Amino acid sequence: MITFATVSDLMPIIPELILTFVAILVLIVDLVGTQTKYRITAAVLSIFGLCIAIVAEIQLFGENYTGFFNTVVADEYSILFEIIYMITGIITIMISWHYIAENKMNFREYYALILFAIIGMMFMTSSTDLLLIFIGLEIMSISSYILVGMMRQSVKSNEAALKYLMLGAFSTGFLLYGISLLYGATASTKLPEIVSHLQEHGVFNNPLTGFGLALLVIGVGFKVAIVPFHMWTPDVYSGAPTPVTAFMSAAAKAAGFAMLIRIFLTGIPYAERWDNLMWLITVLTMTVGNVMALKQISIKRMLAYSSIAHAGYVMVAVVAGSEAAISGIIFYSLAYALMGVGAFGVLSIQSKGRTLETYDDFTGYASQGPKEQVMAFLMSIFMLSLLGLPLTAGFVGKFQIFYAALDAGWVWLTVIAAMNSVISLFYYLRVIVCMYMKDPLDSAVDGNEQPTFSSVFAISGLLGTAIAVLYLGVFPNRFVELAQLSVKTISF
Amino acid sequence: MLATEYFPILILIVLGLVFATVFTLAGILLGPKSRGKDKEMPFESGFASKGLVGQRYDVKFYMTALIFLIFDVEIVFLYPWAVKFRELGWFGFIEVCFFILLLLVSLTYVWKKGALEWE
Amino acid sequence: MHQIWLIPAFPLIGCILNGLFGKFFGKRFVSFVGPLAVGFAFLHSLVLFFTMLNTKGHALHETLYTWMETGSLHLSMGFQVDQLSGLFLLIITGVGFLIHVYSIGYMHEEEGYYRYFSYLNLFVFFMLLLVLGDNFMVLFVGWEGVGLCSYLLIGYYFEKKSAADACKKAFIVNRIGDFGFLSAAMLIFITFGTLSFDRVNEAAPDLLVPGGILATLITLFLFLGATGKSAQIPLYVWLPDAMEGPTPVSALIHAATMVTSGLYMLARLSHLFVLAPATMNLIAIIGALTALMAATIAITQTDIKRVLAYSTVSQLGYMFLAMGVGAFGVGIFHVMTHAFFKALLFLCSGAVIHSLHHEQDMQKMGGLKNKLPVTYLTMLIGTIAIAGIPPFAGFFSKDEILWKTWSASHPILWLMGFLTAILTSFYMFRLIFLTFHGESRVDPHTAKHIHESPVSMLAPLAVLAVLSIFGGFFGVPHVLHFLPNGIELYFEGFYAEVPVGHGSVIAEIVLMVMSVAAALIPVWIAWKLYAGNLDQVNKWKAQFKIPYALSWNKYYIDEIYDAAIIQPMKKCSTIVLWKWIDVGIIDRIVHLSGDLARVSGGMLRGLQNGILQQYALIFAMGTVGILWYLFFLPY
Repeated sequence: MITFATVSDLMPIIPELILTFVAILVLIVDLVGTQTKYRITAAVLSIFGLCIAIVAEIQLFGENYTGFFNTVVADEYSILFEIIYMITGIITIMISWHYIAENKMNFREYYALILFAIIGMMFMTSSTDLLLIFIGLEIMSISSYILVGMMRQSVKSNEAALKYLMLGAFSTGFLLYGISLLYGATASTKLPEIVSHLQEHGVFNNPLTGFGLALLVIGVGFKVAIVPFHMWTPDVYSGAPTPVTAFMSAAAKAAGFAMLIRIFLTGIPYAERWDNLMWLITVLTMTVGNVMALKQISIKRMLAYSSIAHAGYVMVAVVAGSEAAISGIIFYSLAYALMGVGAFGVLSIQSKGRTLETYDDFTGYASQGPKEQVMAFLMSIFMLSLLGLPLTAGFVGKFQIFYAALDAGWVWLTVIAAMNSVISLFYYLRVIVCMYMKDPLDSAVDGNEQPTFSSVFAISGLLGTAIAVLYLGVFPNRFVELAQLSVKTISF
Repeated sequence: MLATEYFPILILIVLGLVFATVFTLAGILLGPKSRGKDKEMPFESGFASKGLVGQRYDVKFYMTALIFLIFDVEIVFLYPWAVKFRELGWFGFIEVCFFILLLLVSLTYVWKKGALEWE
Repeated sequence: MHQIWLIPAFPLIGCILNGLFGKFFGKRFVSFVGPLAVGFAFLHSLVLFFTMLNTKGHALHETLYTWMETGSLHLSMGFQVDQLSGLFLLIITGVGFLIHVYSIGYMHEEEGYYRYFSYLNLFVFFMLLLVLGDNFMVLFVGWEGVGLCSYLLIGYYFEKKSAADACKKAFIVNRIGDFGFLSAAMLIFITFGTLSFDRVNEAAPDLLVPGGILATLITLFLFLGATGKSAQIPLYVWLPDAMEGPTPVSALIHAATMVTSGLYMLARLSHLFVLAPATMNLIAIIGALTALMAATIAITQTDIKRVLAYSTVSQLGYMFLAMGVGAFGVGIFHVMTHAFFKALLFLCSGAVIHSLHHEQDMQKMGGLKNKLPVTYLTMLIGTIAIAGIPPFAGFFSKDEILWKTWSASHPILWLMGFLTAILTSFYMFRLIFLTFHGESRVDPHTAKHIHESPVSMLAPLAVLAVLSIFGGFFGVPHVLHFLPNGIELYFEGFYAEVPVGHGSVIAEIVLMVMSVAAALIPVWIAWKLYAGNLDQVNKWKAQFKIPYALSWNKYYIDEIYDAAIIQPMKKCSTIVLWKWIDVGIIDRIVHLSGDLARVSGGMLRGLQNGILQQYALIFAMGTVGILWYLFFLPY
């Protein structure tokens, strides 16, 4: 007897459905509205849709719906991650409006693409079937390829999009091959079945499974940019429109890690050489990211490298693999989403008609006017959080990850991670030094400008982000508890 | 540790790599080299090379082709539904209606965007 | 509940009010809110201090909320007021309040007045967190926070390049210290499974082998953290440079409070430290060395604030010496008296600098006695106090430290301390005589405008002067039995017991007389040399060229650090990172991939895009590496 899907199967994907509906609506509005009016409507509509989807997620919290033959689940774990993507999306849209207007990239599909990318991430997180995960990943990837190349008149943006597309396709090949090998070995694409097969037969006893898992790591590793699959990151991140960079560095990476956890940390049996390999990759990722970030001239590129380093910190928790570590990853994803988007967001806001990108552009930034003063202050908060100063979200995140690693017995890994975070001090601090302790270069334009409504909109978004960063640093426990609670729901 | 049945494949890979390396290296090491501007130009029977290698096609061709492809593939989705029409019942029917509605929306979108205009 | 949290809350509110609204409401608002916030904190500290004294066990605990709970780790925003933190609370808020008041006058003409007060309040907030915290976590929050504020305040005059450099130096050096602190916290957590001070102190004797490797390692890391914050060898270099900040900041942060946080931490974990005699000895030796070295540097400096800065380093050395010989209470006693007289001295020097329009060179001062009578008098009191002339505050604490060192049978360390005492008295009176006596060397244009400072600056001086005179009676030496030794009673049962040999009464009296002599004789020498004309000094300068140059150039420590650490690191990064990896490896790979591409001909031509291909190549190499590692490496 063949069974078919019914209406109740739609329950776990209600937020996804809402977002899809809104995204299509955004596209339709484009057909009827005039250009300038549309931009506001589209942005507001998207934010509105995201808010409703968040409310829907909260309603689903604790209900544990499953659907479509258990291939889609709405457990606390996925709900928490999905809310992180959507919050990132909201902030991204808030900063995008200004950027889009200033850089003459009024391609109206922008907001719809962001929503589609979020939908893809949500399926990556909430699915337990490798094929569905893969489709989610592709929805996200293809949306982001287009978003990266959205600044059509900029050569850098085009180049970035092409590179990303090429290498993305390359990595997708690995991922799919991995899935097919696993299917060949275990006769299933469903994670629970694969896991139980592996628990029965071991990972490395059949070369197909080990090979398949390794290829999966490589495919996901590309998305979260771990060394040596990180080469695209700096180019793509610095070429892409800044809000898109913000979005990718925060949400796409979080989604990659959510998927990684779902695949690897939910019951795949222990194998020593696997741990050693991950250990090596982790150390490389942290170190390469931090060392390369040191000598960058462009802050945008520096942040791109630093996002590699942050992926390395998260990998520390992946290596540790305990429940505390996974809840640490969830918290860190949220923290990084806030501070990363915040930092890139500051870069996306123009000052006196100029786009700021290098350290030189930021020299004496704090003394250039009231708006710049606010921006410099916000940037300082994000930088301090990124470098992990106490009472910021970044500190709590790092603390949890390092604590989990220590608790799981990875002392040396923790020491290396701590040393890396000391290195990161130098380049984060340089931004603050540049903004506050140097005089503006001659090239800086004097004179005041009237803040536009869109820039106020963007800055208020960043202000909210900064407040959230501090709030999470001072009162983290509620969120830590939530994360811990949600971890309990993913172990099969 | 390794299953022996895969061993031939390994040998094949190794052999392939060895052959490729040996012959390319031999080419580099043994072959006479003389490089220069004239030498590296494509050979066009005495004429200086001109023009782009890749011919540019109008993007409209791609647009139309892509749109055709997408709609074509998506319509194929209707066949399995038609086969299982009775078992799927009203729920399936509504879902397919929704699917067709989406196709319609996208068709309108493509139309309004001017992707179907040739000139 | 005692509402301990209110103490740090007041300055935090002040900081927020000043930071957000100070610009709009103007200077009056700021100069009202800033000091008042600290004033309230002081009053509340006073109340809690006496409540604490009347409480059994002398400790008030309060947990504000759970900061984080993960696994076995339970961290809370917990505060405690006990003998140690109570005393620090009074010093921080009391001296802090006076310095805030003083700042009203001192900073009046500065731009960004509200910013200054906002930072200053924020500093007090973090400092209070540091001493109030009942676990490492809260301490660390304060620890990092004060570092950040000190960084912001040193760089306050950000137009000056030297200021920017100085604050960078301060932050980086402090980070080395922080590394030590964090490593220690990590080890402590692994060993004890908790980060609460009380439980660590309780469990230390059971879990750690006295003199064992673990105890030594933990305490060494902690001490490294302390040397960073409290400016001891080898990490003291940032403190003299930190004098680039406004003078009240130097008084508050770099003399009275922040630099003592290393000592606070040592005292807080005394039960841990006594288990590592090797570390204790090291602390004593480093302390004595720092004291002596900084004092020898101070005797030749001509910048008035630099003299005081090295004097601070030197006095901090005394305190570490006290801690090292196990006299924790005495060390903290010196922290207190030092806070009084050093803050006083800094504020006085600020008044001098203020009236001379930011002239800091003592060679361009002289004869200011009549023009700045109040400043002169108060500064003289501070100098007498620091020189250790009885019955002023410095005498009691310093004499007690020397006596404890002697009775703990460390004669060499005692001698170093004794020499330092002689030098201290000398360079401090040199400062007084150069600045206030003799002929005026002030440039005539400035001389016309010299004026005594406003009341808001002089009042704090007066209060601090009174404290510098009487603050010492808290801890009267044993031989003078007519008063109880308050400091010992106060700290009774708080610190870990250290077996201390008791010297004879006669020895104590002899040593005391010697200290008094060591304080008085240099005054006479300094008078001879510096009160009149400076011919003799200049002659000696020419005669003792090498020692003078060594001292004047601070033993070239900055240069040595630069040559031994910073330059090699720079070179290393250029050579290794740039030349070797970047040019050598990456470039070669790029070229190689180009060659490969050329060789492989038409196959890959469609994808060709030099760099992109390199990325794909590395990707592929990584894949091959991983697969090779997993499947072909023997296990």
